[in-house]
Amino acid sequence: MKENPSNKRIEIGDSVIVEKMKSPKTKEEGLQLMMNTYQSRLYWHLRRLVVHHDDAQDLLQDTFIKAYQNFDKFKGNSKIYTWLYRIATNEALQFLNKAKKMQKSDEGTEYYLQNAVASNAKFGAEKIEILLQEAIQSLPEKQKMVFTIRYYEEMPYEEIAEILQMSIGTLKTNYHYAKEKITEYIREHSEDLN
Amino acid sequence: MKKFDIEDLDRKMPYEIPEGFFPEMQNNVFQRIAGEEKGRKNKQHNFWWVAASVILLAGLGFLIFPTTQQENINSIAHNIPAIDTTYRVAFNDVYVQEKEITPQNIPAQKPNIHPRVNKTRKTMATHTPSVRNSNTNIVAAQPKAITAEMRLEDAVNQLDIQELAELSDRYEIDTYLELY
Repeated sequence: MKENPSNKRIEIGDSVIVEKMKSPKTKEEGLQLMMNTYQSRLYWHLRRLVVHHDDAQDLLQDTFIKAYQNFDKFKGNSKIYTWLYRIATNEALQFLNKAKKMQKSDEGTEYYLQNAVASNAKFGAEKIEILLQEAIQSLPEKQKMVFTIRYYEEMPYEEIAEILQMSIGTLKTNYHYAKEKITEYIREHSEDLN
Repeated sequence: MKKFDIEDLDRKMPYEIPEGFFPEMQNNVFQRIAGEEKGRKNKQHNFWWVAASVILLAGLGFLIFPTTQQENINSIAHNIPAIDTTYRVAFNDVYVQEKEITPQNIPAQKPNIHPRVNKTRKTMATHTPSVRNSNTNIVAAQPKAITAEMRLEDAVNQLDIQELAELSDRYEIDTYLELY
């Protein structure tokens, strides 16, 4: 696992963000700094989970607003981005649960999101990229969360454990099964890739 | 695809972000925060306005109607005979005329007669034909007031005990027969 080169820069930025967010006079400035630092990573995390840009946009806004309104609950025991990921993941889970209620079944939501991958793909996107996203959407919720954070963010299991409130053993098991299922899915659907 | 490992893939996403998305998103966030802050302040502001209005109204109410609850009850109780009298006035002119308050018959020991009673009685009395047709004092109409009820009462008073007992027996028998 490669170490994220931006981690050190983020930690330096965190102390400034925390300082500004704690003071009512500079709170908005702190929010601006927080958004500039984490908006891209959080957006892609959300987009991988909900596929549609508009939904990801709404969830990202909600995440930052909740972070702004509840910053007094951030105790500084974890990194800001871990805390933000947790808020964002909860927002996404709530959204997906609502979608399930609308579709009235997990399969309906999975099918809907899998179909949405191809229709949301940019012009010139590679087939394997689309297949990978479709495979991710076919996963159960827990495995989907663990896999996307670990695979794309390359986040250490300790931090993922903080975000998802799971043990490291459970995370590793979930990641392993997710990887197997994705590989199988791509093999099944990639006859024409060769 | 015999040797395929997803770890070997580039971690690229097949989606794209619309141009200018992040600045727009930030604007939306700041607008929503400002809107929510404003809404929260308005709620607080409205709360104080409502509280101040309630206190003001209560104060005004106390100044305009400084009666206590007991006084209100007394006032209501005092009005009851007036309503009752009005009802009787509508159906019995004689009763009104007998009870009519004139300067001569106002009792000296009750100087605080409720003005509404006077007014009601007077108003109703002026609608009675006997009063309207005469230019004299209302009390002058009193001799005309002999009703069937009064005549019956006089007749009953003239009967002795035996006659009354007979009448009573007949009444019971009649009632019994009527049941069949």
